[in-house]
Amino acid sequence: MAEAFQAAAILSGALFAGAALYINLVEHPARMQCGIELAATVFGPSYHRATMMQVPLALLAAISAVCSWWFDHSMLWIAGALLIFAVIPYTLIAILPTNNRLLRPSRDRKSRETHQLLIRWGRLPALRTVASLTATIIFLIAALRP
Amino acid sequence: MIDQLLFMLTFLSAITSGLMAGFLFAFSVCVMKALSRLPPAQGITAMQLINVVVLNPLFLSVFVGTAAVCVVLGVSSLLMWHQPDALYRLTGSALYLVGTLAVTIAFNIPRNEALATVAADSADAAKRWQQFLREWTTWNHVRTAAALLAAAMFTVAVRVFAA
Repeated sequence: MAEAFQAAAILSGALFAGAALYINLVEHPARMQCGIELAATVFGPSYHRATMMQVPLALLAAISAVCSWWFDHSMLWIAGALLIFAVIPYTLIAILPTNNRLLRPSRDRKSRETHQLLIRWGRLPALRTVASLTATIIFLIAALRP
Repeated sequence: MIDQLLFMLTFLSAITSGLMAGFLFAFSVCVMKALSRLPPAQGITAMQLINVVVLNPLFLSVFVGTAAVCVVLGVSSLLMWHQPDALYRLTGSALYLVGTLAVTIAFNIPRNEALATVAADSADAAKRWQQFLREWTTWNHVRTAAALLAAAMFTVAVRVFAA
């Protein structure tokens, strides 16, 4: 049972980190090359789907890590769980306000402000990538302990 | 010394193949579904740009670097078959090399290259875009599952080694 929770924490953490890396490395840079209007158009559906994917993965990783701690009492599981869970409040506090401004129905998708918001948004998710990758490495180290 | 090196490479592969699984998972559950909701001309343009941007040094070093490490792990597991983690290292390596790398080369890259020749405003663009979405996404599911299973095998291997 403990091994199942450990595997769930490691694999969901790695999936989250890989998806976050994709957003940083490929999706947003590609979007910005499409031109501002198309970038702002694509942003909406893409953001909603990414949220639907990433929130459950972060929760699954955090809950599985806490369950793993219950079995082996290693604080590494708690450290990793806190780190990957932290991406949820970080998203709500740091990223959501920019998202909401970009997704406002009245927004002029060709405007200079939209361009600035998209550039700003591109910098914000990097912290999620680093946090989730670090959490995954911590989970893997915790799983090695006898 | 060699055992420690193999352990480090297996640990690294567990991380990087898991990262690749997440990277490809984003396409399967998020990107392609979002692009399929756009008008075909916009979807084609966005996918063509994604296929250019994805060829950056960091992505390629993780994708190809993991494959190179898998070759080392696969060969070493055959040479040191008596080790308890050898079966897991071999299975993980085979899953990544066949299910992720070979599938990408044989099925996803040719479709990317074909899409690159499609003019977004051409008469048959919509039909070719629908075909691309269906076929490319199916093979992406396959390589995502293979990378995730490879990560699981490498994780079991480091666990067995450490025990």
